[in-house]
Amino acid sequence: MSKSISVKFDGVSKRYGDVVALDQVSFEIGAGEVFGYIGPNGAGKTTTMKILVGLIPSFGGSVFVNGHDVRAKESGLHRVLGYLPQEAGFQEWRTVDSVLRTLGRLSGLSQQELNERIPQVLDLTRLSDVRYKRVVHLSGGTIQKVRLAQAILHDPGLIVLDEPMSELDPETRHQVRVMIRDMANKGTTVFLSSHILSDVQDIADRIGVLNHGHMLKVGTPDELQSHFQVGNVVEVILNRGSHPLPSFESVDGIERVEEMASNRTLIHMTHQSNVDATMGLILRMLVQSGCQVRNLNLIRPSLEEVYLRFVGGEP
Amino acid sequence: MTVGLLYADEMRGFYKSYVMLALWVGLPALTIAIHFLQPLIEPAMRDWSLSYVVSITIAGIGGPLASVSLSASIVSERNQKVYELFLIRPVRRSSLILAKFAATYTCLVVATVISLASGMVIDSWLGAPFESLWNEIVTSVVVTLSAMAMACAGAVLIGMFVSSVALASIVSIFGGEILILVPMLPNYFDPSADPVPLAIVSGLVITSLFLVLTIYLFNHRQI
Repeated sequence: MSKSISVKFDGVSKRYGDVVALDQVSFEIGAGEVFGYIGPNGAGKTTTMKILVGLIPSFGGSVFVNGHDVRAKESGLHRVLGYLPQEAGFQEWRTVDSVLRTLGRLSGLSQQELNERIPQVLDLTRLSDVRYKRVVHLSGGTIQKVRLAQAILHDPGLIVLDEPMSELDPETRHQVRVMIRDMANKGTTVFLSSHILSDVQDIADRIGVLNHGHMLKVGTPDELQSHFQVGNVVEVILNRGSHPLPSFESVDGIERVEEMASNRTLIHMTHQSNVDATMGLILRMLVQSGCQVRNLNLIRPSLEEVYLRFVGGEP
Repeated sequence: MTVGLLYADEMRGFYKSYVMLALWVGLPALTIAIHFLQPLIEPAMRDWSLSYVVSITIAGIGGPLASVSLSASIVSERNQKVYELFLIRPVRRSSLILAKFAATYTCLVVATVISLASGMVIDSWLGAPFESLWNEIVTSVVVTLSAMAMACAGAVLIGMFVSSVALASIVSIFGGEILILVPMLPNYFDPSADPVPLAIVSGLVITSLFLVLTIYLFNHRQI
């Protein structure tokens, strides 16, 4: 199997008794793409990922990796797969080196390859200092880095990361984001779930939104914002003593006006409005009214706002 | 090849976590202690050789020991989701099970051999007549090794499908005690019957049955 790996979920369903974990979920991940996967707790993200990596052998529908059904023995998936589970422990006796050595051997790396690759991965994940320490004695964030290190050790063509940023400090999260983008630039396909929506927004080419086992929408961050009909916001800050703002309430393309403290006003556009035309209109009205404008900003809704609007709950 | 890698890894784990030390030093030490202490309570044992005491002691605790140690470790590792990182690699689920079984069984067999060898060496040194009890010793060891194999396989089955370490330990102790009786059934009907053939056959059949059943169920189970 080549480095360029594509994934296709076709009508995938999974039930646990009466509970529907996934219901006819279909989407594709292109070769070399970073695909973000978001949804609230219990949406079915981890179930989707476990089906892809083969940990859930029984499910409805089909999953293909480069056109091969993952249930077929000849799919070859496990030779090119890197997986970071949401939670995975290590035996008490294991050191970081032992984790990488054993899992690397099982991934098909020779001792010589491991001798070269382990220091590189430890350096990349900044784990060199704890190489010979027992994993159970490390902090949660460092253990998460060990999980990440084992996932990328064999330079997989497809990497599945279930909540990779959890337990990481801001600096390490930034490093991991950079690392993921670098891998994608080298042709690795990345399937990534996260509750930290800004992380997904920053690095994903496309995003799938899952809720209660249903795939609500797949698209680029811009497409999601457009699809979920969250309008843009114009922030106006006036100088002290300026003329008051004119009335925008009846203007086409404006949904509502929100007065804030310190001469600050937020003008919410409707989702259908033409951003440039409405901005121009606002600017003209401000000038005509003699307002002394200190600041005028267009604020695009963040993915988090889109997400909360759509799934209706906390991430 | 994968089974070999996993087997070596399990053995490394036993070594690093001092399981080997406990079994290979602790078990012989225990039997020697029993040999010298038990006659204080049971005067009839004064004439028994150490080798014989070793063989009956191991026969009594070998099955449950194997069962509890293996099932508890499997349940604990399953609960910590240790196996996920193994099974997303080109590793058959059957390899994982066979490696665990083989490593534990190897440790117990080695512990038995060391214990027995220690007993024989000390007997020779003391001039005790263990040769006269040789048949009983061999019988006891064969029965024990057979029971250990069955208990290990049963423990893998229990470990894979019970979620609580405590429950797995309790079920394993009962199971281990029952399994050790299987090769001795002929003696229940005929005290002069030789338990060795049945021990070998039942050991092979029941062990294989347990392992095949575990592999089948594990292959169809979500991790």
